[in-house]
Amino acid sequence: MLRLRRSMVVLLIICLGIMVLSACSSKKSNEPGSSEGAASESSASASQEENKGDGKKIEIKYWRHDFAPEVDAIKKLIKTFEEKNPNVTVKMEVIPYGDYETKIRTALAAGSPPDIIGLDGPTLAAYAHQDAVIPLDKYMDMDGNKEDIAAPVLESLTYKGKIYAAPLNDASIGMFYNKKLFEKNGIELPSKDPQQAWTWDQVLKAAQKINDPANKIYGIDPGWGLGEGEGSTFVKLPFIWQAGGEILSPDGTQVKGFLDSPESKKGLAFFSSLYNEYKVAAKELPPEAFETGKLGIIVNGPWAISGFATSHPEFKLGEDWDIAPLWKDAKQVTPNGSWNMAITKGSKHPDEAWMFVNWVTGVEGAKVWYQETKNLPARLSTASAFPELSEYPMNIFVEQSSKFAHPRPVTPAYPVVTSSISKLFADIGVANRDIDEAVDEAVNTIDRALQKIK
Amino acid sequence: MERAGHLLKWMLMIVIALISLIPILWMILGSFRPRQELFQYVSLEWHLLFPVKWTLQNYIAIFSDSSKPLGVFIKNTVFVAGLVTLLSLLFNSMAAFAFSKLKFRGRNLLFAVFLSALVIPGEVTMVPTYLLIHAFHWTDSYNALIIPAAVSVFSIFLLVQFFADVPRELLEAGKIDGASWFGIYAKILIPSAVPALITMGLITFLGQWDSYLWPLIVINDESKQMLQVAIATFTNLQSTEWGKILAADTAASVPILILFLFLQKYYVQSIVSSGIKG
Repeated sequence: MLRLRRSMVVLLIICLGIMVLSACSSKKSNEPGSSEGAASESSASASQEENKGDGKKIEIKYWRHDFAPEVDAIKKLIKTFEEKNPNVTVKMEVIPYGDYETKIRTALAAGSPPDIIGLDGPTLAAYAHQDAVIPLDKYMDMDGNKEDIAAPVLESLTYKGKIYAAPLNDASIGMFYNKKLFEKNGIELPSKDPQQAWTWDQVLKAAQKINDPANKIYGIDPGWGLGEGEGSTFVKLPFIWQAGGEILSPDGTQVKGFLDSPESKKGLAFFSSLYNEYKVAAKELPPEAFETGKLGIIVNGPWAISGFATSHPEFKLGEDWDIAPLWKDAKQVTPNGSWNMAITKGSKHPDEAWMFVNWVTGVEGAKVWYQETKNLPARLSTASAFPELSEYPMNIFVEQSSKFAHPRPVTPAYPVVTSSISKLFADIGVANRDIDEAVDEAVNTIDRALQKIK
Repeated sequence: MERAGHLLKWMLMIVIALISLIPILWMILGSFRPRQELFQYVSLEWHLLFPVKWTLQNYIAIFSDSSKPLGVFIKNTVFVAGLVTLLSLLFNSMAAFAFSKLKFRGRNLLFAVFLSALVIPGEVTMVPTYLLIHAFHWTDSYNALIIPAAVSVFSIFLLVQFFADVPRELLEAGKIDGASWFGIYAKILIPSAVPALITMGLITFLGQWDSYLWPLIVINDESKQMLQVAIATFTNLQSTEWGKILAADTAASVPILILFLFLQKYYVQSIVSSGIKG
């Protein structure tokens, strides 16, 4: 027994030492840019192995997150691509969305990335900064028809003057409202004309009339609850932009004077007031509250139209609910940017990889993609090829994304930006923290991350 | 007075049992509901738990989807978890035997070093292990899942505690009768530590059955994927397919529940015995 106890003491000492060490190192690995060394090493080892596959069939690996309709669309495009290019096969591997980044980053760090990866717009700068993906400018100039890609989308894919990804589609959000609840409470329905967006004040008044927490009816969910994740940031950022504020300076290097400007704070104050002053937004909502008729107003994107139709066929667009343009304040602003395809630096066959990327995201591929997925197109030629895109409800999203779209900040520090922003909104929404104090904290966190990458 | 005390204790235990059972009941009963009514009933009423309309649609959907064959994932997981459990019982019990019963130079130091690995979280060693697996060209194969899991410091530590209960005299008797160290291990120690081994096996199997992050990282080919990763794909960027998740979770719980049903006698026994030893 005594012997065991002594070894326990030894053990404890070792444990403590290791804990201190691992605490230090884990702190470092959370910061952006730390895997830079690993990424560049990987590209070196990859180039040594180059030209191995000559004369044989070339296999291109493509990783993307799992979403059945999109995966099916890609499968169709792979089939036609392989028919046209018999010497190239494409192997697609799908990864659960929740841990997509974890998997990609591990593979990049180990030097075994696939040839093509799916990238969400704002993560692009981090990958480009770490030299994990290659610029596509030469390909874009060759046969990528980049003049056909909507300008705000292209802007969101450009880092330090170079284009690093080809867009699969764009995204936008609108105001979804429960028509029955509006009519029951005698509220005038909002216009479907993208030029006639409701003001914050109109939205608040409608939410106040609908809100009836005693009977489990809630006024508004202004931004996908208060959770974390990029989707949540995507739908919340417009409050800051609409008030006239910004997150970062236009070149993406400064946060002071932008996120803490009076305009930005005004946007945050309005969001907070929905939860705390007017209490028209509930801090906790039952899941699928909108689809089950318990919620008056939400924000959502075009993907939700088909999503609601399959999950809740009894809840009908036009009868039970409708879509209006996203609300406005000092400015009318909607978020943009979605998933893209990028070629990794570790790819041994970048030319063939581009052939496939262009097959999917090019002028013809984009049309197939729209037909299969009904995602908001990133190409002007697609937008004009389908009449339904100029009709309700899609016209709202198309018009918003060409006139009012605002890309998310392009910076390698974006992972820190997005987590700080969702924390900031949760702080002022749920916790009802003082706005100045919460903003200062977010500004400091983001500023520290920005300093690191300089 | 004493009876009242007993009654109170029983009531309290029943309440605790109910509280822990309700989420599981909700999962099982929810898997038989159509998606539309899953979140329809939020107040305390009969239909909060019990479906209005019973349906098997969720189960049909998860087992008939040819792009995500749940049956294949279950088979893969049973194979990997079973093999890992067997290997880890073998290797870990031999190591634990050495640490608890053999005398050799540096044993305590070696054991302390081993145990110090307990405090390093798996996430920290994940990338180095991945690099190693990659260098062996084991990515996308079951080697990557099975071999690193075949030895577990935690299992060795627990088994050492269990083996300490086996009286030294018993082993010495074997020694006197001329048994080799391996004979003592196989014929005396192992038979007298069956409950401990079953407990360890259950913990290992359950851990493998539920493992998520590691298979996610090392397995690329969808047809080789493990169950939990496959279930995670029912949640995507746009929506969460709750009906399918509840049905898949229920289906995934059944094998574990059956295992526990048969082995719980030993499981409880070994917890009790280790508790006494404390």
